[in-house]
Amino acid sequence: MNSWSGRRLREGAVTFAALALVFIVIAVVIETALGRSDSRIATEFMLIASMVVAIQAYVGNSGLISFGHVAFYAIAAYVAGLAAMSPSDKERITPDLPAWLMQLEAGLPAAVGLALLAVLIFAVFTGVPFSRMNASVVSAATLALLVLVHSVINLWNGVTHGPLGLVGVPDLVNTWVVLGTSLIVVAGALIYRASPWGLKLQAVRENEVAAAALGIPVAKMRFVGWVVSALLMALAGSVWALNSLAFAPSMFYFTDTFAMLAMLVVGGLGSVSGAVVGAAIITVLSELLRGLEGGLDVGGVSVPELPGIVQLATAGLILIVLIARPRGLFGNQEIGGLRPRHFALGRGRS
Amino acid sequence: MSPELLIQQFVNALSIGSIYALLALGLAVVFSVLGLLNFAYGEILTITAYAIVLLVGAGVPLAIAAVIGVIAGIGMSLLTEVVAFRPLRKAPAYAVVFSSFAVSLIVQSLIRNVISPRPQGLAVPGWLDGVLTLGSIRIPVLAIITIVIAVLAMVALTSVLQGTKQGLAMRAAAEDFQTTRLMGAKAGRLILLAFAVSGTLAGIAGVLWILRTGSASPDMGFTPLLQAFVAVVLGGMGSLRGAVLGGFALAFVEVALQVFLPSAIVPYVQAITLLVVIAVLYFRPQGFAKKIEERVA
Repeated sequence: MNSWSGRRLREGAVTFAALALVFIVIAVVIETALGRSDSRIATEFMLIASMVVAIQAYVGNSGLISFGHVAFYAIAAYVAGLAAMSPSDKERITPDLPAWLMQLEAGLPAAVGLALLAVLIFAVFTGVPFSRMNASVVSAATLALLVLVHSVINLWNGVTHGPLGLVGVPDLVNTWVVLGTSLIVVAGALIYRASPWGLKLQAVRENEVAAAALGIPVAKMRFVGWVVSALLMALAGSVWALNSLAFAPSMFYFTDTFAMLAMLVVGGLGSVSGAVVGAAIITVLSELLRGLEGGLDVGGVSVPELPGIVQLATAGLILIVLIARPRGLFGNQEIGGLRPRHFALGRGRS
Repeated sequence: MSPELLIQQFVNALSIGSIYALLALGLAVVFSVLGLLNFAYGEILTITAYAIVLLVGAGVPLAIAAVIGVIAGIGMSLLTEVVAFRPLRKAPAYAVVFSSFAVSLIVQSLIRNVISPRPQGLAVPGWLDGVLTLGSIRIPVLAIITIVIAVLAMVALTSVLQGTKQGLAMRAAAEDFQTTRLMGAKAGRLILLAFAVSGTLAGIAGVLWILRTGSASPDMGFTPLLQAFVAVVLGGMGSLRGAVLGGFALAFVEVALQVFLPSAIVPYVQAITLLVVIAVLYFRPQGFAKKIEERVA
């Protein structure tokens, strides 16, 4: 009962190698070939894909939907940002900070460490009640959590600078730090998936009653998944903050929650590879359509403004994928677990 | 606080509570049959509200616009079943959460593109803004209308559930859907009926909501969706009586926090309410009503 899954570890190693290769190629391209705005999109992609992988660690292994992970992201971003900002900036825009945080001007490790600690405490407090709720209640409760955290950040002017958000967060992150973060998060999610805790949570996902009858502590395993996933989210979220320099509460609400969940659904909930591939598909789709939102002229034909076209297309894509393939592109499979029979071509040749 | 003010706030809580109760009831009707939450539920109110705003803007009297608005709401509810629920009957529960969520976003995007991203105001007739004065107590006309309409709707629903064969089938389905099917109830028709009832209740709530707020916006459905979730969760998922209780409980907590908290904290009322709800769920993961039902049974 307490052993690791050898198969998942072997698959995980191959999957890690494949995904790491993709991320390394992206990082090298950013450093050598891309201009400012393209390299921003590519860096952002690596961090968003990491967050989707972090959400996957909970949602994929437990089969429970969380709308609340963006709340972890928000807390991590604000704590890391506030820890790293210079005291003079903080006295100007966030005068009600406690003295120790006001005086602090943390470097990268300390800022990320504080963010992880804050999210850990928050995840433990919320994880206890959430782990005991039944499956359909959890999704509503996590939605409530997102609204709660967003409204507090939005209103707590003296500490968060309210709706205007933080400005003047120092740039402590380069492409290699982003790459390292993505690799840690992907490795973390793959290791958790093969671990005894991950396996037990997957058993609960498949059949809660049977799992409980085998002596698996259901609530405890859900709690572990919630906390592991929150910490991975906090790691990616805090690095994101130190890369973004300025952010506001509106960036941690529905649009992002929905975009990340869409990436997960399209890629397949049960798969870390799926999370990354889904993130890639939705990012490419959004970038292609974003030009349309403000309206544009194509060869003399003017396309009118289409507000929210990205969201409309993403929602449509989700609906189509769900109806055609309810488990997403990858389902519960990892790249490392695919055999030639999974490819139509491979079967034809052999 | 003076007794007059206390009575006024009590009526206020009662009127907000009756809207929440309707909302919760509509969400619970579908949940009790399918065991799934409809994340496109708020869009029923949105559609109703937009129908009313557009019709009143075109010169249609408010009462007729309201009726058409409710019918449009029922249409939205049935459409959700056909598009987001029916194709995924055999899929895992999370797939339906996402598909209904996707429908909700599609409706919002379409309204943004076809009508306008900006809120649309409704010219509410003057008499609705009136205030009744009983001695030193002042009660808004709209509060009374809200309570009366909501109570009538709930009485009508109860008599349908208690008095008709379809109502009996729905109550049975809420207890045990599989057994109800074995007894000969047609599953597809029963589910469609549940969505129709859900759409009616949400549509009526939508009429009361737009009269209260006076404007319709593309994402207006979110707040009522969240309130309905909270009320249903508080009331013990799937229990219809619990949903009504949960709706009133939520309204009384909200109004009490607004009245008794120092004014500096009032903007945080929504956050505190959600915190109270999570605290309640900590001690009673099944909500209030489950306990009562188990005792009866």
